[in-house]
Amino acid sequence: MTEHYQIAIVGAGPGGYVAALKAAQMGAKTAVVEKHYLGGTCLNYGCIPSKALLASAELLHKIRRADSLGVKVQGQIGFDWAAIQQRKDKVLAKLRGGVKSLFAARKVTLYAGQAAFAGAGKIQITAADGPKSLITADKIIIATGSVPSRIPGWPTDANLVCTSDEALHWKELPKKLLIVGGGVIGCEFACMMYEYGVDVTVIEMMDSLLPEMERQLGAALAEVFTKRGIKIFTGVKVEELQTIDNGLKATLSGGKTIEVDKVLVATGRRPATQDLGLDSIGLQTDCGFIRVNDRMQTAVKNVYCIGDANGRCLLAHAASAHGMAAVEDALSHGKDFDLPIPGAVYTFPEIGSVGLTTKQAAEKGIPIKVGQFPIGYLGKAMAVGEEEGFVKVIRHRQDETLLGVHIFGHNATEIIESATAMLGLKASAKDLAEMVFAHPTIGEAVKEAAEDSFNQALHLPPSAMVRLAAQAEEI
Amino acid sequence: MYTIKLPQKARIPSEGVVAEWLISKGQAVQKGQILVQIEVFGQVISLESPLTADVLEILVGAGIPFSAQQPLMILGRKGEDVSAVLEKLAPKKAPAKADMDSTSVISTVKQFQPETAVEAEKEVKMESKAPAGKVVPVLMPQAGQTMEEGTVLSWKVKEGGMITAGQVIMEIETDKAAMEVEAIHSGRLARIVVREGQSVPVKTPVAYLAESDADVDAYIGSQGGVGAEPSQKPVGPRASSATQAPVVGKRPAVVGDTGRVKASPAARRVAEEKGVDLAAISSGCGPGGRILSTDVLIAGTGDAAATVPDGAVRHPLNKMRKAIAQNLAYSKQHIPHFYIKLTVNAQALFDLYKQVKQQFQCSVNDFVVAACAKAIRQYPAFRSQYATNEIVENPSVNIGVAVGTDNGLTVPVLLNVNRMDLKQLSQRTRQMAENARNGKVDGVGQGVFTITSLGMFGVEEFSAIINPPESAILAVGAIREDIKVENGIVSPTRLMTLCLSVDHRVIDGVMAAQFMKTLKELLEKPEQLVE
Repeated sequence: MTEHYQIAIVGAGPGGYVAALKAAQMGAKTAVVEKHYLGGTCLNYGCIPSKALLASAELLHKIRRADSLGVKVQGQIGFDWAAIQQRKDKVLAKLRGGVKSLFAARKVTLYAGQAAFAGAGKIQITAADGPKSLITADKIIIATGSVPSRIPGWPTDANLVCTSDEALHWKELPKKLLIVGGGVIGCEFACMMYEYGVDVTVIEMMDSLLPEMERQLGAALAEVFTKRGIKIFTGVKVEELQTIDNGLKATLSGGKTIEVDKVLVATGRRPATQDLGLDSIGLQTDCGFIRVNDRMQTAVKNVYCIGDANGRCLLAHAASAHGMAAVEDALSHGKDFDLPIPGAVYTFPEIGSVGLTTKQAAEKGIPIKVGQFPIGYLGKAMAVGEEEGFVKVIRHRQDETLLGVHIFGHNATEIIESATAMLGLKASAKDLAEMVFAHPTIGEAVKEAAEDSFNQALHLPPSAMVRLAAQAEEI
Repeated sequence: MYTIKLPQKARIPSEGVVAEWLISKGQAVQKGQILVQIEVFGQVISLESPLTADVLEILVGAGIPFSAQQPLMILGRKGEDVSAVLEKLAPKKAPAKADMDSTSVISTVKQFQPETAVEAEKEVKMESKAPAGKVVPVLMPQAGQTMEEGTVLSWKVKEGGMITAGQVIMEIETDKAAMEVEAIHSGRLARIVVREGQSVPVKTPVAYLAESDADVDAYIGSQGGVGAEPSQKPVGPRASSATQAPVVGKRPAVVGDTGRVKASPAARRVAEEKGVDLAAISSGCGPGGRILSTDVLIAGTGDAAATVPDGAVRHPLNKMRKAIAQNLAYSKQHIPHFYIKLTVNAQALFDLYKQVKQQFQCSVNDFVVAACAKAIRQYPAFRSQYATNEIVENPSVNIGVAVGTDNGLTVPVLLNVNRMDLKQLSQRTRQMAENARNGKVDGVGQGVFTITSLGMFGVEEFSAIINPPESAILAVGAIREDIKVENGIVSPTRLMTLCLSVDHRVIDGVMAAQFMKTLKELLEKPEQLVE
């Protein structure tokens, strides 16, 4: 007897499980198929474990600076890696249990196994121990996520060359680590591993850290990292990687060589859409991604794709938002998804960013005005000893529409939420500048930066009028 | 030739925004002359020219951000060729990245829009060429979050010509700026449907790429049809399903079940300042129809008089005046009006009127109404109204006739005019006017078209405001003695000028012109109206 569902979701990561709960909440008979742990990459190999490890690392970082706040710490400041890993595992287990009980509470049927399409509306599930089952569904959402990219031709021993999947669960820390890729994942690992006593070098191919984000953010982070002692090389690739006794030797562009115990590849992620039987429904992929429109519909009727697998935005909260949009479209009335999606980087200091970057404004020819406020000018920042960073607000020069907000500083990932809300409501930068923000907080810098975009920030001295001769370069 | 940059100095931040250019391309500048004002953090820098030369090219426009080592302009000697330099400096376009959901203000049209396919076997490819048989619409881009419509200023390619992706194919204008639009696809520009000077809402097709013109016809045909279902198969980027201008931006403002109107805080403040009732604003441009401050500014019907002069008498608005104010203000602001004027040779009409008047009481206007009834019967667009996502066509020819009363303008409606003969029409009109003057308005809300005349006051010509939810209104002038020129010979005759105001969302210029032509033919051979 083949069980029939109104909606079936393949994958129980932040995209899939949220979609399933939403569908069940809307009254649909819902099935979810998950081949591995509930919670997907986010819960098990991404967001959550990394934040747990970063929390311990940040505490170490703070304790090492305790003196600056008049606090005396006796004896050696150390850590127990096994205990840190254990704590992280407990958090993961608790959250997986949480997703499971939410499914049970909403009567979502969970199938454990690998899913594959077996024709329109049909999914075959192969459990780990062999048995197959078949379900049918009116609507199907593909939420199979992504896996870390690996570099072809490099040593395949995961003890030597690994990705975030392995690194988050290391039983032992390396002594010298080479991180290939200066994006969000590379930077977060660099930040935490440095506190755990690892000698860290970061290699980034593009000309700054966090190359996809507002340039000033990557530049500021690089400055902070370098001052701490993390080595950073931008505009450089690993041309060759060889195994040597007890480790690896990397040759960089320009000839420099580095010897390390381990290499962490953090160059990106690729979609996990193989082995899904997509041929049986005639669904094509584009570099592995299943392309969708603004309602998360694929080219095949009644089939949706959300999260990393569709390539639109490889962030957990984007997957969840896509999931909601897909379920709304599948079960009631859809509308085009067009909300702003913030980005968060959990280094210390943190980064929060939403909307347009100055580079995008230049590329699109949008006239802007930029407001900026250094976090160090804030009372709260000085009082708590977290003076690093800035808030940058970008608005449309003529109609004052808020276009982008970029934050580098303490709690940036929490502070960005108010900016995202204003951006989503299509507020003007003036609205933001006139809001009342609690004092003393770091968040106030958002208001000040918005005011600065009108040259009206009170806690900044008026702009100095300077006259300079331009520099001419013969061509 | 020299590129000019921000000097590299200790206290100069590494990025800035160009505030204002104080010189322009082609101008000669002196050493020390201020070229441009630049905003960086904490400073406004006036940049002086380091040499005396001619401005060959400005590389970063006003309001555009740039980073420290980026050249801002090129100086040199007039006539020097900058094209090689521009090539070298052209910014490398970032590859279509995975984060398409980061708020891009211009919806990067590289987003994939698959067909809403019906069979599971359908496959869709990322098109970069318009292959044989396939038609790719070229859409008016949305260059800015608030952009709702754009005007084509000029086409840079001829119909039938080949274009390549990246090539500038047209120049458009929005309410903010003029800009060049690059093609996304390569192919043959088979048909241009929006001409220079015409405006269309964003994301509507302005042209089509196709190998054969027949394909374009077929494609346009399949897209058309009033009230087409959104699931109609579009090919390539998702095209709008309505034939006429689709709804852009405005959705009806939402009132929550607490009765609270969804409006932004700024909108509320502006509404309060200006005394505008938020509930009276029918739709907003914010998410979910939320009313924004810009919507309030548009809807605001003007401030209370700031200073009342001595001796001024204040007349509170009566109900009729308020209704007129609201309706017509709405009409002028929300309906895209265009106007067509036509002068009719009214000699035959005048003569016939004189004749018929001896048989029964009638007016010249009755003939005009009769002519309109015939024309409206023939042109469904003139008995249609614009609604969200569709155009609603009314089968009945109900014509409103504007009547001026002591209280104000009122428009009683003649129902099914096409079923009346001239005598009935005339009688009914007189009856309605009488009723109106006594406060009773017939046929309220049932009109599809309105006729208004100021001919009895000798007015030759005027343009009227469309009476919502109708799509057109005809303003009739007086029959006047004038001259006509025929084959070079001047002779006296009688003329009457008609002016038609039209809702461009429902009716295009050609259709309106054809309607007027039909009206003219009917009025110039008015015996057709008395049969």
